[in-house]
Amino acid sequence: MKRPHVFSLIIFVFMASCGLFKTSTSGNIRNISSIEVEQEFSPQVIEEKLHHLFIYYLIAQRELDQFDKKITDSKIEEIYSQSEYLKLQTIRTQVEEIENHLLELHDQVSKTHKNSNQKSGTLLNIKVKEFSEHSSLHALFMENISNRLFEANGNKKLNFKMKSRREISKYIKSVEESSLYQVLDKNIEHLSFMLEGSRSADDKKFYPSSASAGNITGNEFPSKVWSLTFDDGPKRQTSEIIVNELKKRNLKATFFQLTQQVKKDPEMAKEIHDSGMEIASHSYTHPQLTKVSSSELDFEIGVASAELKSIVNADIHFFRLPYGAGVSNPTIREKVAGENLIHVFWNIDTLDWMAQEPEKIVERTIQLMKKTQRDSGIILFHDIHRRTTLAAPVIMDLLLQENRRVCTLHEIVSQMNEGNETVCAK
Amino acid sequence: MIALIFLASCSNIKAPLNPNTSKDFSQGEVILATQLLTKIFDQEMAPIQCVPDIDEAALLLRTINPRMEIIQDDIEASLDDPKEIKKMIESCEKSCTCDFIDDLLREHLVVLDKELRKSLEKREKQKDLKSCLNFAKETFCSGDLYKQLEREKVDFSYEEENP
Repeated sequence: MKRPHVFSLIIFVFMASCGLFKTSTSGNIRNISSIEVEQEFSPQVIEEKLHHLFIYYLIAQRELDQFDKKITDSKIEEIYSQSEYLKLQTIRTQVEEIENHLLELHDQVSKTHKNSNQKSGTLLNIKVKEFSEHSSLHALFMENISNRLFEANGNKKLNFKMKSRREISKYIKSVEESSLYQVLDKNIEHLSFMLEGSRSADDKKFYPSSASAGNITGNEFPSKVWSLTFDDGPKRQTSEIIVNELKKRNLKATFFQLTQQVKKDPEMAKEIHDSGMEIASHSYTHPQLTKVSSSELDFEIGVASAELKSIVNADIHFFRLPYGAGVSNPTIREKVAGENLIHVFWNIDTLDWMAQEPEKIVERTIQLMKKTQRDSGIILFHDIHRRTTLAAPVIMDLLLQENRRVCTLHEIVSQMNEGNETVCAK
Repeated sequence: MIALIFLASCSNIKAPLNPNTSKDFSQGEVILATQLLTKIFDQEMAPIQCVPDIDEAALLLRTINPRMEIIQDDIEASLDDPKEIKKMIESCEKSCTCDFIDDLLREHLVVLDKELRKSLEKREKQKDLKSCLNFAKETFCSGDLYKQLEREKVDFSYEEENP
């Protein structure tokens, strides 16, 4: 749904006023001489900085419109990597810097001239008021800094000089065509590239946590990196076939096992581990964990992974909730994190748990893989069905094509955490 | 003696039913709903009013999964018994489960005799999956199963947090 033009702006400025643009007037006061303050705080400099603010808000308005148009068609995991969103964040930091700087100088000058008749301390008030009176758009853009100054406009009604829409449009057009606009626009573009680069390197870290860092879906994976996961085993008749197919292709996968099943055939579980596969926990008996008591939760998560570790003689790093139920439940997530486990969801659900032709499973998986943002992710299979022993090898063959890389979850996550340039290298 | 009596009576105690057991809805209803949701998820069928997109279909599929698991386990457990298989085939038309049962039989490499195979194929033709799904499409949103899934889906929902 398209937001009204001005409504988007109001939301942006509201967010700026209320906290998105957190400002601190106390932390960053520079130790500069009073002469320097006077020079920096001259009417011309203030006007220049207010004009810069105006231009940044104009650019933000443009990016916000584009962003609003895109979000209706974008999946949630795509929205925040859109270029418009990155530019808005960059603009936020630039605007914050200018506003902070002006307010710091204002505070400095106010203190310096406290007992004199000089009105330098109110110069910012006057300039902001003057600037705001140009038009309703100017007033909107100055709202954040006005609120911070308290007396800037007071309760007086502003008399806008530019009244007609035509006048405002003409003025905006002239600003957008100015060389200063072009320079600041380019500045935003360059800075947002840097923001995207630092985000990719620093933000994708995973560790046991009830917050987002403690849950992986596969959407975070770098391009062409895949993880095959198999749940509910081990079941010798089917798990053995799948492991052999993986070994044939020199591929590794992660098996989310039920401790109950492992105890029925511990040798099978050990064989899977000894083949180089990763073992992870999928609870003890596969109940819906949102329906069990606290002590049962301890059993299904804590005891399950401890016993699994002991039987298989391997470190257990990951847990997957049965049916994926409880991912948004803080108690359950805290329990998982408390056992030093990272929760793993998926972004490709093959639906192989349902009886159907194996070809249908393959078709669905291929279609879903094409929809991922970076041809990467976590594929969910269940190694207890015959149909999966037929479908999974076809997908394994597909993953061997087009430079895709397949690793265990532990390999992928630890390399991402270390900031490796190439994750899951061949 | 007392121990024997105790053991004998204990063997009659059934495990408590999972609240999400299929006993609350018929096998046919759950199977058909799952097939409908899968078709919407696979984009082989247009979304319906209460399942407007594939994300909702995926969520409802996760929610119905525990019920389907029990149903599948029950059916698979009876595949060793020819009498049970015959009974299932003879009643599959009524519950629109002929296709599903056929899939399970093939999966488990159960070979039917000529007569039973003919009977199953005839029933599949008489009430084919398409017409069953069309019926499900019209009735799913107003049914009790959907209302129950709506209540339960919060446990299965997952909103990916903002990066």
